[in-house]
Amino acid sequence: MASSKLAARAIRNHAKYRGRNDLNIVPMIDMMVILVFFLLFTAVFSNTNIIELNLPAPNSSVPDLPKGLQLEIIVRHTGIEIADRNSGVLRSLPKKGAEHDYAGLSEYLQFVKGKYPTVLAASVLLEQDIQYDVLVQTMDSVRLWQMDDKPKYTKVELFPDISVGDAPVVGAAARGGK
Amino acid sequence: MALVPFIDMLTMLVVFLLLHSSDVEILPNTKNITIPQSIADIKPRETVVIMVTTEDILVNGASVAKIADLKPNDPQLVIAKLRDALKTQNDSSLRAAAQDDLAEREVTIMGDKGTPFAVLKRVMATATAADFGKVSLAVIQRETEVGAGA
Repeated sequence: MASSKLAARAIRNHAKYRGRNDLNIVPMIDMMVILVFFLLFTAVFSNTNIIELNLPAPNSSVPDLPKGLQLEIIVRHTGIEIADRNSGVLRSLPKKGAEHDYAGLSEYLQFVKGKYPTVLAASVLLEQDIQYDVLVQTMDSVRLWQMDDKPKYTKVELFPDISVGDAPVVGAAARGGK
Repeated sequence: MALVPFIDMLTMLVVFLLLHSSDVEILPNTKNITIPQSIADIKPRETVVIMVTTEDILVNGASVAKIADLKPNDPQLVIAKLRDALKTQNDSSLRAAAQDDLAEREVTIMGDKGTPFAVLKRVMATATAADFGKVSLAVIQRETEVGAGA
């Protein structure tokens, strides 16, 4: 009969712990192991952040270009060009191997920032099939300059107000306008 | 019994993992796409999420358009299906304060690393056309930042 089986088990279990006065911690360990596995699988180890963009509203008219620097960073398949909308290309940085020259871009933008400390806006203009990753890396170089002072990695703001657009087709770029 | 150090370790692990899982995950997980790394340090907010994978465009997890259906040289920048999906989001999942103020509406774009700019541009144009004033790009924090963290 089931009840006698249960009774026998109770007696057996009781005999097992007879004479011992320590806590039975086995169930606690079971719970802990389950918890550890649960938390391990739900844990997120990569931090997701966001970059805010400065896009124009769809119905806003094109404002008159203010005087001064209108910084444009044009990303092409062959390399990156840094240009001023009013005066044309300032510097072009050819690709280094398969990668764009982000270090060179950052360096030159620091120089530009030194000359025009009040300018905050920049436009990143890309060719049609440039990859999203390249856009983000370029925006990083344009927005911030991360110093190499381990372990702080101080960030210096360069041109945080970024708008995104189409790169002028080659040829028109030489005239510096759209 | 020699179980005591084992329990100590388990307790530590549980506490560590509990603390680390406490920061709420706002953006959906990104197992099927690789989003780019960046040094950006703005925390994501509760917004409408447009996910651009290699095949689909999803709004808050529901597929609305196929990348393959986008014609490369379409003069119409706005993706109609995506705009309609975003318009319906306007009413349901936005915070009350942002319901009327168009410029304060936010959308977060999570794009795969390899998404061409032509697609991304159209997604962004659609977002602004659907009255979302603020567009943000989701990125993964770069590893060098871990040393710098907090």
